[in-house]
Amino acid sequence: MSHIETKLPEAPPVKLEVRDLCRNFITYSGETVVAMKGLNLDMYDGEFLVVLGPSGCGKSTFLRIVAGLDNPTSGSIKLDGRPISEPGPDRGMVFQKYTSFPWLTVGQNVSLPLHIQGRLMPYLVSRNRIFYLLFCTFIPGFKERQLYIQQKVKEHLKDVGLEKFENVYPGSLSGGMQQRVAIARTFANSPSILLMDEPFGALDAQTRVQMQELLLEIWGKNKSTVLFITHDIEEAIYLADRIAIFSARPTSVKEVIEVPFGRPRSQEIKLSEEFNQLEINIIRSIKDEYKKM
Amino acid sequence: MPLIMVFITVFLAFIIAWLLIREYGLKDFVVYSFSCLFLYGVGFLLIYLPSVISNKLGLIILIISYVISTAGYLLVYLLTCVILFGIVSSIPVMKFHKSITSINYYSLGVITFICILILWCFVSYVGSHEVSEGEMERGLINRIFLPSPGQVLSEARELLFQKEFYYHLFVSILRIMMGFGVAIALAIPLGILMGSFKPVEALFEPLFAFIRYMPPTAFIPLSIIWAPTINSVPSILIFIGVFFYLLVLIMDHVANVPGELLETSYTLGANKLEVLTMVIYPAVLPGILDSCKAMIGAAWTYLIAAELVGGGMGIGYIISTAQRYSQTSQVFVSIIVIGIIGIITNAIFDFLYRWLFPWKRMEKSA
Repeated sequence: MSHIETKLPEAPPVKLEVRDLCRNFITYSGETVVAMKGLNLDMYDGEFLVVLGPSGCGKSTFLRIVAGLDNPTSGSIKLDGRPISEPGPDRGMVFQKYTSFPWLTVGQNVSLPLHIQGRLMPYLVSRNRIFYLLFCTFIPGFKERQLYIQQKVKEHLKDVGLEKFENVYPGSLSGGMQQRVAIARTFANSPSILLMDEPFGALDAQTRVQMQELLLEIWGKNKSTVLFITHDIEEAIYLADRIAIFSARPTSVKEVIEVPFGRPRSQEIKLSEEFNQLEINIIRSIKDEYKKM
Repeated sequence: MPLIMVFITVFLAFIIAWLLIREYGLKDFVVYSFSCLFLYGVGFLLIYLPSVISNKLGLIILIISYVISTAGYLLVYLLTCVILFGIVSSIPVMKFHKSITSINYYSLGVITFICILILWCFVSYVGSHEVSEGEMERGLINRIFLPSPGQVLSEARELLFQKEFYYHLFVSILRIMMGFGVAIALAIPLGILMGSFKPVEALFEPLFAFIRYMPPTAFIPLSIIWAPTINSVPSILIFIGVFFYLLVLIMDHVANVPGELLETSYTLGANKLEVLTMVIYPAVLPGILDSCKAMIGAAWTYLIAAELVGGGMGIGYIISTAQRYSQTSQVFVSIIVIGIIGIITNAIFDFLYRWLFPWKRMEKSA
């Protein structure tokens, strides 16, 4: 009888690999504070991973390090096998604060990353008719590219339900709409991984629920990998494939919880017994960390 | 409260009317008080109708007081009362930061101008003073110190129909544009670089801070020595006076660009040049325009200062020669012309702001 290999279900390829991440801060009085020590985390391709933890534990710092906006003291981060050292378009980021450029219309905001990919003084082109005409005449393939961008922008705006607001300045939009612009803009860049730093933290409860549904919808459509930070446990369970709970300072990953719900999810799962039990477990786990602080 | 004020006003008006009739005779008084009434009517229409029309009682009281005042109001006193009364009666209507219609806004502005004009008329035409022994002149103040409105008007008629005046004006404006233009053209790129990159700031800021504390007017003698021709002295002075301050303001605007916007643009894949041109530059542009609007007033100061000392041409030159010959009314006309140009410049900047930055308007309304 031939040997039958019992093969474990193969894990999806690792997208983001964080190894032994450390971050020290130096205070004004010259003391070294160890904020993060020995943080290890793996993220798989196409996964929605939510980071939870006591407030002030360094979730945002971790995300900023992954984005390349902050430098670790030691340790390594690899995205698709390549080490990360500085910010790049492969890691799109959505902040808690509204970051749409107020001098550009919603459409121009979303088209900006696409223009940047083209590297043709995008600002001038998107604003100035004369430059636009000149470039169209003298640069082969320019016009096609512009039309492609316009079409892309329309698609992405439609995804977030803002197709009617293409020519409106973000200043006159509500908070939820502004975050939708930010999300559309980030997805337009088709990043390898999406980093979200409490993107719905400043929104009211109703808008937040709407935005969560919207995010899941777009995520399902684009098949991207999302690293999401929040302090809202309910939001975390509703959105996540896996939840990583961070410990108190010095930060490391305390535990990783698999969320057992399938996809697509509806809001109704929030009422189930399983959901509540998970929520209670997570609350306990985070409470323990608060005690250590 | 307004009712008491009306009574006091009427009472005082009677006293003043009596004094006036005693001094000038009835005929002069009637002519005078009717011309006063006309101006009062204008003021009444401008200030009252918008704010009190809703209050019927207020309107009736006003009309009664208006009728009584035909007995002879003294114009200055009356208008002062009208304004005080207007402000007092509109206190319940006023709310903090609440905007008013543009017609009300501008009519109130016009009122202030009219008041100053009337005060000026008052001190120029009411009463009399002794110019030299036995020689009397109308008005409370000597004409050498303060010319009467009529004098200024006739001087303006004379001056404004001369080609030469416009030549001087043109020269002055050209000097401003030269000095200010060069200052802006250098300050914008340098200010943005200094605000964005600490090493660039460290390179220049200590030197510029040192220069900033020297009064620009102290450079007049030096620039007379240095300048190739005396003509370029005002432009050089404007540059010195404006450039270093503008630089600080622009640096400040750059420092106020939200860090999230910069970080977002990094994560969208922009390189340093693109962040400078696509994020920082458009973000600080409204601030720069605001700073320019503030600094152009300073530019006029330095222009006139330099032209007074020597320049052979320009508005400052007209002022200095007028002063040499004690032609106060000519000085007045020149200064008023500068003021009018200032208002026009202000309007141009406001228009530019609205035209270039429609998104700013949106932000305010949101």
